[in-house]
Amino acid sequence: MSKAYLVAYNTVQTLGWSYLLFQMINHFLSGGEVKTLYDNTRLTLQIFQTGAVLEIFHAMFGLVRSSIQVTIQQVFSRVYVTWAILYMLPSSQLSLGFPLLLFAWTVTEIIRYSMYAVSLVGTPPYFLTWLRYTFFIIAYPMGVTGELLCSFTGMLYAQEHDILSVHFPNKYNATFSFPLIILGIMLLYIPLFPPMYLHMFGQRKKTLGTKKEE
Amino acid sequence: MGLEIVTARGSKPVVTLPAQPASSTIGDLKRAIGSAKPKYKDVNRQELRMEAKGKFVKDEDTLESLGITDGSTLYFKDRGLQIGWNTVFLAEYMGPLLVYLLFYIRPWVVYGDVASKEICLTAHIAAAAWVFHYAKRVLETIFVHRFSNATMPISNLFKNCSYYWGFTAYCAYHINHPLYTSPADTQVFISLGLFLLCELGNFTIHVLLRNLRPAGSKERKIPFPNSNPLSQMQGFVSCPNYTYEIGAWISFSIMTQCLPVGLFTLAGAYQMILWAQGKHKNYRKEFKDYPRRKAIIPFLL
Repeated sequence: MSKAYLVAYNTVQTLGWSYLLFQMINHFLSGGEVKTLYDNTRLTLQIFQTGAVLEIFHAMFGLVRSSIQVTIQQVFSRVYVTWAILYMLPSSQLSLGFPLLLFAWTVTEIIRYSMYAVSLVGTPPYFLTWLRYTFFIIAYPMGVTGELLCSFTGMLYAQEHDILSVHFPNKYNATFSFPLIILGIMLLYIPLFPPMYLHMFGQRKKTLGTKKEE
Repeated sequence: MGLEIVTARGSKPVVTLPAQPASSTIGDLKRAIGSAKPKYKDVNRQELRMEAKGKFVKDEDTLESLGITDGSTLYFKDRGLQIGWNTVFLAEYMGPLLVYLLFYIRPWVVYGDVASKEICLTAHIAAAAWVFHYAKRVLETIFVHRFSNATMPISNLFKNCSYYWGFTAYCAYHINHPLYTSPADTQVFISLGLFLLCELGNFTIHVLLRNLRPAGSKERKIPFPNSNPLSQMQGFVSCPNYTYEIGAWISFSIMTQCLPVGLFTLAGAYQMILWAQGKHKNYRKEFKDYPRRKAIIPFLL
């Protein structure tokens, strides 16, 4: 029962992200510019990226074996970029960072979700496993660059237009600086990204290494 | 045959010790391991267990009492580089003292040129209260507390200092801001009174706990109220020191009417509730006749 649901969920996500990639390629092939890419793709991105929040519940209810904490971190960072940066700060939508992150995210997710769907009903073909543990080598740096570029542009916009910020004086003597939070998160990439990247290389060696010996 | 010491994870050999007298202690064993393996010369770093995933055995226990004989295997866990509790406490408390005062003097790099703006009375009172709280902690660390464990892992130092120093900067930035607005005088003075009462309560409990334990020992006894009325809280909860500490910070939050201080209070309260529940559970496990009490909030939690 839950298996059927998971197969359905992963299939829907695979199709959704494939469609998003199709939209992106189509946009550029018909002569579209970087700065109009967001307008054409935002709805698809928002639907399928926000849908990933379900994965937190999958982990919580034990439907999948992933750690709740890791799933929350992954989903949170994507949802943060999609809503707190791209949606809230229009100038980030025009950045070169957007096509970069869109390409990295779409291809990564197509591989990831199709891998999960296939694994639920059988053994994944070696080619898919190879893709899963190889594409990340360019996808991670590409995605990170895209996210940071969009964040930086967005931060400047937030600063200039005082988005979501609270200043002195006020009744509870509080302040909130959205640009500062964005900067803080950008800085967090420095300690958090290298271990993640290296971990994937380790996983690659472990998974693909043995296959070669066969 | 001797005693096999192997790692808890993976059962890799650490060292084989020659047979030890039955009356020797775990502490003696650790010293022997330290002599054989210089890396573990600091015995505080060593954790020995009867089972690979079991609880650690105490230094004071004899091999005889634990059933350890010639040919036994003991499991070893490296606790990592250790640092003394005293050292950690002093480092983490000096930060709040210095960092708060750094903001109190209103450096221009933080607030711009505000030399002309007056500092309101509440900000002065808050600075005094904050400094008092942490100076009291430093003095208690030196003169009052008797710790069960001598050391903790060094990573705790970074974690704890970040927490204390970070939150101090966060609170101090807001309270000392030139545009900070004080709540009404009545609110300030009543909450100041409550703050001081809770500080006194907290101190009372610290002294009570100190007197429970003879110097140089790690003995644990059930604490009971003494002649000091503030110690009555001990009759209702296992960890009244935390109860009073949370009370002090709630008072400070209301006194300053500052949301960042409220957030700091919430963070501290959350941690102390977890600690109190743990301590409460330990008391109940260790003492069969432990009185009916709550962990930290009378009648509730």
